[in-house]
Amino acid sequence: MRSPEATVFRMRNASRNFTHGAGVTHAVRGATLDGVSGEVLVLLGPSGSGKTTLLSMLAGLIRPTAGSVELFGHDISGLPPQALQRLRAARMGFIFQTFHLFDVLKVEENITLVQRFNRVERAPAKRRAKELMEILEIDRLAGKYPSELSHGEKQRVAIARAVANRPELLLADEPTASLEWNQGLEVVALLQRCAREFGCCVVCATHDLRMEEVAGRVLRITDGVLTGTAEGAVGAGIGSDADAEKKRAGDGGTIKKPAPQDGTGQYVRIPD
Amino acid sequence: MFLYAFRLLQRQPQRLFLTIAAIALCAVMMLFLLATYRGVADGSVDYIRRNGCDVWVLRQNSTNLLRGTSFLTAAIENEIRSCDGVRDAHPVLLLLPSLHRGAQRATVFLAGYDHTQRLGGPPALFAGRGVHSDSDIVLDRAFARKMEVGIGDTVSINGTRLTVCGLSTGTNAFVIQYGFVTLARARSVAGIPDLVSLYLVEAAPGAIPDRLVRRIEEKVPGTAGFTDGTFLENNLAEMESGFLPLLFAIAGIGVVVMTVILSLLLGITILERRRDFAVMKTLGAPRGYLPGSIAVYALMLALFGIAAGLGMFPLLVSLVERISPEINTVTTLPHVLLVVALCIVVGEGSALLSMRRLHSIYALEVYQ
Repeated sequence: MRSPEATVFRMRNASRNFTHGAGVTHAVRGATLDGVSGEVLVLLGPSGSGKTTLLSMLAGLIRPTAGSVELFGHDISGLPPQALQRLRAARMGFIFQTFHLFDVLKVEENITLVQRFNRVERAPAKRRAKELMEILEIDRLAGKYPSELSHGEKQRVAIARAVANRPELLLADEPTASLEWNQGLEVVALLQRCAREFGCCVVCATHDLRMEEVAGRVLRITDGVLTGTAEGAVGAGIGSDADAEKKRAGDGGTIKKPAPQDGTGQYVRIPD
Repeated sequence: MFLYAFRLLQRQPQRLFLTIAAIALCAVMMLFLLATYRGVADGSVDYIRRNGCDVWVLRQNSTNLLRGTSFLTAAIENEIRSCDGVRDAHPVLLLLPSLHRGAQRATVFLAGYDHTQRLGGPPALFAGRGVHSDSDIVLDRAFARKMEVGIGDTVSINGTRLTVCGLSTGTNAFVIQYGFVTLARARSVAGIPDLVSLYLVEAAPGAIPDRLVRRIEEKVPGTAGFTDGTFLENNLAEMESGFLPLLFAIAGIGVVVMTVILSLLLGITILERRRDFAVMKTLGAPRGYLPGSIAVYALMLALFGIAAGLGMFPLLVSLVERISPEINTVTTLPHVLLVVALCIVVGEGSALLSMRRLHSIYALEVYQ
């Protein structure tokens, strides 16, 4: 179990623009955000708000056009692609909306493969896969192909794959969007468990308001700008560097929830 | 990367089958061409190689049997025999008449030789006996199969009926096969008495063939002499100059077809598995993993294709020999290894050509 206080990432005034022809899209504007191990950080925002771009920057897949993103103490702007690849393999886990399992590989092989990316030997990788499958109660699916699984089972496999290398940072993009209500609840609980039991920092971009229930912090992103409730903005470390310092000095562990936004069309409320 | 490549093959059985079949056919084609080449190369010169004479004497400017004409007169026989170092000289008349059997007709490379002597006849008999009289003929085994004749059957050349008394081997030159009759019979077929194509010369003990050649050429003007080795080389070179370019052209087409098939297949596979590759990049796959997977995938296809090809090859050979008995194939281990190596090189070359597509796959695609 890692120290809950360990800073996993640090984003400072990070912006990301995309140019297309003469036009420029400001996908993320001046985002300041910290992530610590053991917490679940939820990014709420409508489609096109910049959630995915923010996740991509945290994954080191794209670099900020302004500001800085530090992963595990390394500024990603200064890291070569191979170093970022090693960081992703060894210290990060990924969960996707549409699971992105390798459909030609069996369940166990899906979980083993990412460990092989992290240069784990075959035998320990298989042991770890078995262990995770037992924890996530999917051991009976070990020899099946993803096409033979339900969506809920696929997401469990995806979670097992994501935590196989004991990541410090788990990035989940709409992890419940393709799931039915009950399956979504299970996944939400599992993500919370990942943070609590594996000690990783879970960053979850979602429309799903249920994620608020398990979130250590809830952030909103609109038009590339991170916002939140009045208390959330400061408490969650959103905003300026000074705000972030206040957050670190204050009650970092308090769960802050944004007010639900019914009828705005910005967020999807999943029915009871 | 082995696991992913293997599963990729396993999960696309129809494509796997078609690709392996295509590679196998290319491999079989290359193997068959090489085996035919070896068979033709051996068959074309076996008569020369196994004749056992020391010096071949032909008409001046004639250098080989396969694509040359040589006519001499019987009058020079004694002159050759009287050369210092010559033990004996045996005349041979070579003609290209049509051989008939009922309605069937085929051209035969007819060698008339002195059947009472050791040299000039069939190098080896598969069945029956050698020529004993002017009414006998020994036919190449493949030719006999093609004409559907056996020992004791009658054939005719220029209206002369001849009885098949033996079947020879080592006398199949692919485009033409040998037949053997007495020298007198060959001369009667030609309609010119005292006609000879060449002399097979035996050197006396201790005589050096090179010197013997010079002495014969000096003593008998209008002749060209060759030691056994030189004459064999001349004929091989002649055969290769006519056959090898065609063989290489067909083999080259096979290689190009196989490269195109594999490159297309690998390209399509990369496009189809684009999402997988993007996910792998996101999940931190080592730099060499993606190209390595493609290389292994291509290698597996090539090896499976080769294995299937090697399995099919004996069947194809037996089928071809049934349909065209004159096609003589000789498969050698170096040729098999060459085809295996070529298939692997083509497979990996195709993989290299296809790997460029991997550069256009971005990790960010996983979020699209």
